[in-house]
Amino acid sequence: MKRILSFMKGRLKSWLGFFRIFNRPQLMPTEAGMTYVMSSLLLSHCYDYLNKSDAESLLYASGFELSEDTLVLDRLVQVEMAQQSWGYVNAETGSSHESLVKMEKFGQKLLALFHIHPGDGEGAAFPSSLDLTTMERFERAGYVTIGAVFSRDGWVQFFSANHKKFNARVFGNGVEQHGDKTFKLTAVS
Amino acid sequence: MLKQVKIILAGSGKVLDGFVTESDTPAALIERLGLDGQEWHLSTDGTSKSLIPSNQDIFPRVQDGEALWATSDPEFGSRVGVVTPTRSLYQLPFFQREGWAKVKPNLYRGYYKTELGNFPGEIEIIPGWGHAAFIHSPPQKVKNHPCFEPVGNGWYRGNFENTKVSIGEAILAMELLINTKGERL
Repeated sequence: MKRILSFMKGRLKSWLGFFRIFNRPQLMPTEAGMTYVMSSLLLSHCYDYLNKSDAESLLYASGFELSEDTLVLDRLVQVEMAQQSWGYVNAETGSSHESLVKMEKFGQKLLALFHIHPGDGEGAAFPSSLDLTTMERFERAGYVTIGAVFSRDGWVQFFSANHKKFNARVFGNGVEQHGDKTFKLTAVS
Repeated sequence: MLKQVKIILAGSGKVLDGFVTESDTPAALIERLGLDGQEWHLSTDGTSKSLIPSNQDIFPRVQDGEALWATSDPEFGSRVGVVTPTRSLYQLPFFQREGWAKVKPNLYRGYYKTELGNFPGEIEIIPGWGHAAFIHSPPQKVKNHPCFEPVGNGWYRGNFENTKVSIGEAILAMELLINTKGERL
């Protein structure tokens, strides 16, 4: 009631506060253009872990900022799964929470979320709408995290939601680059 | 009554400013940051034991100035039978993109983001009149300006000519008033 009375009083002396909105800001998607760097061995370890089970699974990759535009994927972090099936996986809240808090405490960032799809070939490594929704949630919160999907025969595609610009670079042997963000493990174990 | 909190988005390197009011839930606090309240989890000390259920009253559990840890659980694949619409940030209303949330049918909460800092705000819809914009603890430089009127408990109401505007315009109006220290009036 006090607020309403105050509001009405304010209307009477509204000459004090008249202005218009000029130059409304136009929001544009930010395009960081960061380069994500990793070794072929890290990618291979990631594939080996994810491909152990027939069910879909996921893995976090933490790392650090080497320079203004370069991020280094340094460690793979296992988390428990809450739900896991042939075509779906969801991280367990408590396990995921503690893993991410540990990263933060060590000054590391969640740089990539890896998971594996059923099927073979480059097409099997294409992100689903749910994959994109998840990545968008992290991007909206300001994470620099990218996603990556493996196929069962070793194709891997890096992706982001909202077409954020980024580059992926893999150093070492046993990996061929087939596209801007598409790679194939040649030394699949 | 209002408590200021820091929200650490674990694994992102980002810390956001937030506030909780009485009977606030973690979901409401998260939504004021422009994020989906159901998809993010808060804990008081970073352990799974201290995770706060999203529908629980958070106010008695946090201290003024306390830091909270926030994370979200990734999910991938396809939830058979569940349609998950993808909604771009840029399809959201302006007030939501700015991190404001509708907390009651006639009340919006969020932060005015200005050159002098971020300030808690509320915008109330008063039927028949329009919007009333409130700010908590405005900066000293503009506090005594005739456009601000104290209404108690540290809250000030902005006196604006045109109150029949959108929520987004009301937010921008208050931010402009602070950024220009009243000079654009």
